[in-house]
Amino acid sequence: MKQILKAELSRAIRNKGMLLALMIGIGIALVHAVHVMLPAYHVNLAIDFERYPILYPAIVADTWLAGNEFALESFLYFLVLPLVAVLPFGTSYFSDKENGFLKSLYMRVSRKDYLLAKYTAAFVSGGIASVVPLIVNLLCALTLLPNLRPEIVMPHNIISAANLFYKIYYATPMLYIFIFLCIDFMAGGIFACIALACSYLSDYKIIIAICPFFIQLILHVGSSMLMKLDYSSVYFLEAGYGIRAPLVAILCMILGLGLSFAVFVKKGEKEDVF
Amino acid sequence: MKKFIFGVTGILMMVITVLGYRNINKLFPENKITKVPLGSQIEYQEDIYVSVLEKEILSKKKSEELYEETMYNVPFESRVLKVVLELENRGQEKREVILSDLNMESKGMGNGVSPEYTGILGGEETIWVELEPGERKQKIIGYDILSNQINKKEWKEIEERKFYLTFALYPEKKMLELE
Repeated sequence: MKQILKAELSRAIRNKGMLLALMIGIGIALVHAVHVMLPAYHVNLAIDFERYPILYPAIVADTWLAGNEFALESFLYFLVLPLVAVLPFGTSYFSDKENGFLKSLYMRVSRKDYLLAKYTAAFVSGGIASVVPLIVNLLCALTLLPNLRPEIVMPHNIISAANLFYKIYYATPMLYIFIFLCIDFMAGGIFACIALACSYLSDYKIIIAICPFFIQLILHVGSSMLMKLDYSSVYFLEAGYGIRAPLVAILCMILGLGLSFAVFVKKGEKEDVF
Repeated sequence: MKKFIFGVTGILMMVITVLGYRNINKLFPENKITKVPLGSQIEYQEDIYVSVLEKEILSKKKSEELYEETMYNVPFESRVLKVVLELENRGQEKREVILSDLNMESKGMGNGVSPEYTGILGGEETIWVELEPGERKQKIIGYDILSNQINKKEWKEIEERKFYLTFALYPEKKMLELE
């Protein structure tokens, strides 16, 4: 199990899909840094805070890519997150099956070990592809903007006492950011695993790759039509929008993880690949 | 070679981040917080001093009556916070003081002064006060406390929450305590 896991993790991280995913994610993160953070940096320097003390500088916690839901790049990043997360390893089971690699593997390792290793590697690769661009953007924010405590008066985002972890956000924003990086890592991992579970659905790789994106899109459009934006993963994964419906967020995570695991491993154990 | 390039890029990024972080946080240090107790005065603007005399969170029934008077449609449950202020002009000139900088704040929630409630509660629908030199004047202002800014459990205990009026954030945060 250890060896196959090591091999799968190495394949998951070192591939062209990961490179493409990171290029897309970091591209959005850098566009955000130029389009949002640089102007915020200049505005911070231009304002005379002694003269207008009611104003507060743009800070790391409410300006970085996931910290401010008003920026177009933030919405775009979290909208395409399922696609980015799937790119490195989400369709690898399908590819292994298509090119016959799976047959030779099943002769050397047990199916269960392979499937568990594949699932773990896909989860990790999805998480890395989702979080690395956010970390790059966060580093830009830490370089350009002060790391001050957020203020509820004249806020730059909508985090309030209705949000989960709001006390952490107003007391130690970096801890709040770390919590959301972990949540986004998990979400990216889950999106990649959903693609794995969808490997049995179609004979076309592209269909499998866009399945998680469509699931998120349906959830987003549905919640927008019902005026329940708090239920949309496009929003609740953003630290700047935050989690306002914790039960829905937890349910989405558990369902995504549980169902993808059950479908992928159970069906994979029985599937005829020879 | 690849490892070397990645290593150098990583180290460069860390150095730039650390230097930038130090530089920007030196320019913008953490703000100092000043809390003024109920009844005590603080300079609000040059020569203009303000103090809070009284605070009341209106009952649900009274708040609803007020909404009906204002014809103001609030899409979710809310309560009205009534604050009685005293303003003093210690300068030598007549002054017009605008109160829009007095923002209501509580942990994780805040709102600006409401001209509608200020009008009904205080008799005149203005959020400014004219003060002659040496004159002291009382002014009643109102705020909307919105339930969409707070979770259901804490909303039930809204009357036990601490509220402040904040009129300066940076470089010094100035808050008038309402308890």
